[in-house]
Amino acid sequence: MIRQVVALAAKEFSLLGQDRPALALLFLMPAFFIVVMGFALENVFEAGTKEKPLTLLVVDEDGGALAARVRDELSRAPGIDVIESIDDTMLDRSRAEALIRSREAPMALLLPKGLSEGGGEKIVVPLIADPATHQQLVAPVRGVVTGVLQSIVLLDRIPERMRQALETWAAERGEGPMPDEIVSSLNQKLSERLREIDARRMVEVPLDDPSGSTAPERPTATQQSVPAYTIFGVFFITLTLATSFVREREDGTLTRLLTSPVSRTALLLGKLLPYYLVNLAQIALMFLVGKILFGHPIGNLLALLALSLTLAATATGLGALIATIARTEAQVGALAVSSSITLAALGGLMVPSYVMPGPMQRLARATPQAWALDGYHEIMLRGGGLLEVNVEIGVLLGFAGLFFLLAGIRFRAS
Amino acid sequence: MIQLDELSVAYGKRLAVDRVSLEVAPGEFVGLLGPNGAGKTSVLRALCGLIEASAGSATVAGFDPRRDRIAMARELGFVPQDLAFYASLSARQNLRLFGRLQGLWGDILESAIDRVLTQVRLGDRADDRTRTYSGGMKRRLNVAIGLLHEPSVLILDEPTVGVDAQSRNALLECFEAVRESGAAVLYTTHLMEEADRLCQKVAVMDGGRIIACGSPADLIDEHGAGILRIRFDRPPPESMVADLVERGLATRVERSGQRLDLGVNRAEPVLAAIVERAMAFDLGIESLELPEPTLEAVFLRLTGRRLRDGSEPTS
Repeated sequence: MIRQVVALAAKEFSLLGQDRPALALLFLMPAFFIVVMGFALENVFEAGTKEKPLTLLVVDEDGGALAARVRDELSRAPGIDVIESIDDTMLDRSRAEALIRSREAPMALLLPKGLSEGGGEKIVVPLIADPATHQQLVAPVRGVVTGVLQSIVLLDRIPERMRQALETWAAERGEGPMPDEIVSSLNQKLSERLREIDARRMVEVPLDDPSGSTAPERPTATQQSVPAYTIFGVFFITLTLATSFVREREDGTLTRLLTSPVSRTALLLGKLLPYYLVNLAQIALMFLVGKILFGHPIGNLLALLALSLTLAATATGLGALIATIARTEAQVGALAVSSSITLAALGGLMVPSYVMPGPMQRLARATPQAWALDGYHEIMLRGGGLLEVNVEIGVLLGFAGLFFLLAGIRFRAS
Repeated sequence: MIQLDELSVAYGKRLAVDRVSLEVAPGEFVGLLGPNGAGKTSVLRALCGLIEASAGSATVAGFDPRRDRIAMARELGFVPQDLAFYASLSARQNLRLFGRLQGLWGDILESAIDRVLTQVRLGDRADDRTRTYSGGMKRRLNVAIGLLHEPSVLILDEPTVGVDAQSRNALLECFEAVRESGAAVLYTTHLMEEADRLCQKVAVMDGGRIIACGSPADLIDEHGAGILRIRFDRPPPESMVADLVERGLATRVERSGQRLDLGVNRAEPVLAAIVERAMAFDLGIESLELPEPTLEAVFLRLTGRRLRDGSEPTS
């Protein structure tokens, strides 16, 4: 039996060795994937730590003492990199919102006018964040801001409450110095007053969208993920499509098709059209599931349709290109799966690209996944329409055109 | 109908087809014979427009296979060596697909499908998925797809390889009918008896070149050395075999145990020498036969190899 196992294993090694490109891909692609994911995820697990602080824009519309204390406390908070000015100019709300809209900064804290004048029972400090900014990043920042405000409020309000207690005591007694029973009574009054203070109720950090956003409501973390999962799934059509191509090449049916009186363009179109339609159905199904199960917003239907048509074309084009590059099913498997996962990681489907290092963020723009994700976020989370996603649609069309062109050239050449 | 004029095909630096010229007229059935690697498939691929000729030219039904591929393909029926159809579809569905690609629709298509299904004797299984077919049935369907649109030019690449006798017979009858219909047929095979039965002309290829071409009868007359088959009572010694070759009595020698096959031009002097050498080596002759020269013998003489397995005899 051992000899038989050895013989079978030797045969398998021999077969593997014969398909050297597939063998090379089996080793190269994971290595490439590790490198890409390593760089892409470099900041993710450390985001919000002392080493990799999260950027928080702070807009001080108040200019008073309390706002200054808030800014001071935040600047000393670990894990947050407070930016109050850019190019020596103090940030105002519109500039901060513009930076958020352009995805140059994820969040901004607005210290509103009148904050330091105090007296009010409640401090409301809005945290402006892009609707597509992941909750995992917003929540810790919101927690730190809330904590800072609560501590300031407590320190600020306790003396005020003590004064109130003394005044009450003076009004009631009109006497001094205070005997022990009076002190005891005062302490009792003070503790009664202090118990009235609930810092949590005196501080509020509401999440706010940048002005101009027409998003219906702030999405949940699950809702934010639906477009990413959809795009991720769409690109797996490359595996099915390219495998079908290679099978036809291997079993001779492609030869027979090529000797039929049909143009190569018609052959390619006839071959690709079903996969394109399957892709569209895939997108529709995933968004439908997102809508039904998670209440995911759909947004502008026309824009959604246009973006989905171009995304499906891009994925189909990439599948056609892989089909013309790979010679065996093993090569298809390695190329299609690796490219789908690597491009997904690079394009921000697994982790938001804004937490990646700068060079990786720039590299992400070279993937169709990043543009598709931006487009879907614009439509579904920010309430954008066709005009707002015309650049994303244009870029995806460019990717699709490039993939089809290269696939066509290789198909003709082979 | 098929015209090859000094056609050459190269894969990189390797010349697979070297200045091949051949003509197949309407109604003519021409066999292209050659061992594996002789260049036959490259010739067929160039004719079908699947690869480009590096020199020379090829035309099919008057069309250049590369420049006028679509017009050419309407006239061409190609039966590849691979079983080139979809296993998850039935024979009828496969025929419908390839018929539509040929521009056949509606009743014309359906009657063409019925015709070829009858021709290849697959009518009773036409609606079964082809993955359930036997090897012979698959071969028959492979041929049927090539015949569906009644092409004026038919290219058959080893269409009967690996089939049982019943399926082979059905296919050969089919090819004979095609020949009678006036189509020009170019056909490759490893089976000499098929070439003998079907072909009016045979071209023998080796090393990318046509080394002989003519009717089977002419080729046998010209190159058909007979094969003298002798069976001794024990294996003949090496020195005896070498002596026959050295004396120029045998053009080829193939030895298998007690059997000795000798390619001979004239049998009488060889017979005398054999008897003499057998006596000298104290060998008894159990049997001796001299079959009629065949295309197999022609091929063996021209290429030094048997056609069916490409093996080289000792010489």
